[in-house]
Amino acid sequence: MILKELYNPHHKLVKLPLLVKSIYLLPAFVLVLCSSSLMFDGLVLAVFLVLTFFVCKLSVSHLFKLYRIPLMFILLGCLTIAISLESTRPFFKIYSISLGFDMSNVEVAKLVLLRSLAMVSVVFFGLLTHTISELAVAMRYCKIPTLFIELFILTYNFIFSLSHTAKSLHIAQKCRLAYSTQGNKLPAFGLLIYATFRKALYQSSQVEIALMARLGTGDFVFVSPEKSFAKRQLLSPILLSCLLLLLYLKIKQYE
Amino acid sequence: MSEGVIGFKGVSYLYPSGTLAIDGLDLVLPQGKKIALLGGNGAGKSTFLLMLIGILKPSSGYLNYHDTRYCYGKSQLRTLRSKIGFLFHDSDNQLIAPTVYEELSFGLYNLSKDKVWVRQRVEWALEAFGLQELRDKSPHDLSAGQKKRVCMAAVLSMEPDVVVCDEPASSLDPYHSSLIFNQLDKLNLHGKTIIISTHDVNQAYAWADYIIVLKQGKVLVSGSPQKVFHQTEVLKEADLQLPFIVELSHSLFPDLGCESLPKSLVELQTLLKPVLCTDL
Repeated sequence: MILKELYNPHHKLVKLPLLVKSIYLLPAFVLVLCSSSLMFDGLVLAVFLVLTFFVCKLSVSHLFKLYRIPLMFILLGCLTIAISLESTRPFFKIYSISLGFDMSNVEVAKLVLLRSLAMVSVVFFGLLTHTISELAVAMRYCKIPTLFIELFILTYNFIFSLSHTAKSLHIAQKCRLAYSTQGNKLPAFGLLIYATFRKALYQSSQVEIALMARLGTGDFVFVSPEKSFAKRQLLSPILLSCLLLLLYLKIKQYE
Repeated sequence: MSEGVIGFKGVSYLYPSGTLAIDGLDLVLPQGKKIALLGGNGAGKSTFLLMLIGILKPSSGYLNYHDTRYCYGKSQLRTLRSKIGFLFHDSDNQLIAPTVYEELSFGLYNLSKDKVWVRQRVEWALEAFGLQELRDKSPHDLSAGQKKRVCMAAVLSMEPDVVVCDEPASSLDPYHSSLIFNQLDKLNLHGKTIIISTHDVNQAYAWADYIIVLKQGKVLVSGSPQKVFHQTEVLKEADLQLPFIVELSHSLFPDLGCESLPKSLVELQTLLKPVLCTDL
């Protein structure tokens, strides 16, 4: 499931300007990066899961689907850290290789797992509350080169276009009995990849023409509706950030 | 000064693959008219349209815009494209922004960096094309008819003098198709020149003031719809059929002159009235 399908244009922060929305994200992001506490990372993960659930109005199943892929990669990475080939307490031994968990590695793996998940939760919350053009504006503020911003927007659009094309081609293949036997699965999949990319190349040339026709110069600048906010709307992001900072300092004090 | 908005002088276009898409075209597109470009597949319609906005440069010959020769420098093309709007056949190729509002703002912001003016124009376009409810939606999530409307609003909000549409009603149901043509009619009433390419001879006959029939990159015939559709042999050569009204009129009145051909159902009824016993 891709983020674009989950993005809810009527989420609760939609009327807030980029500056206010970034108060929710940036402090949490920096604190998680600096943190070395399992408890703090766990707290940030929980807070941002709840925020995503309520602010973006996502169902639990959608939330689970969203986290599936990063979770898989993070778990694999953490297992690789935790498992040692020279373990003192192996659960599998063959010749001189003793495969097992090493307690010091397990501690690192736990920290990496929670910190990564906390970061992912903050990033997902950001992606689900910002449009691609807001992200592009944020990138411009951060002085990221125009080429990268252009690539970012085009890639974002092409992921959607590619998935849409691949789905249609897959259905067309199935209608002509592709994937019906073990023998034709792999060739059919190869053809699907080939056809998808060929079509994507054609589409990219068409998009380029369309951009030129509307005086596009490569800078993807979109104008959003003017957004104003009341001072009280600053209260919740500032409170959240202060709370996280306090917790971070308190936990650091006890460590 | 000619009365044409765009002129083709001995224009040919050869694709790198060796296909000659346009072959020595000499043509003047009349100003302020509704022009339909007809032709079978591979007749050169899309190449013709892309040359109008300077995307394709002729291999030989040249084009004029209000008697000024096309130049293909960056700034000249910018000026040209701000005067000639282009509506694509496939809406998905035109949609790039994450929301409808931002999609409408894209071309406008390229035209002027004045954000206040851009927002005013976007609001106008949202209102004029009935897109207010869709303003925060992703253009990719819309239906074919809504996407077409967004593309049209995005192009027309830039206020071009000439609007070029590649098959504007393709993949649209009759209702949405009529909405698009009504919008084009409104623009034409404001003096804009509208150029469309289409396969639909009935639509072209009923809607256009001027028709150009292309075959293998050459103009077979051009002129008023009655004049063009009176030449049945030429239309056959271009792999086109006669519009239903013309075919019926020809079968009932074989000696009917081209100027007397009915253009609408009402005109056909008027023509039939004297020969039928019943009241229509």
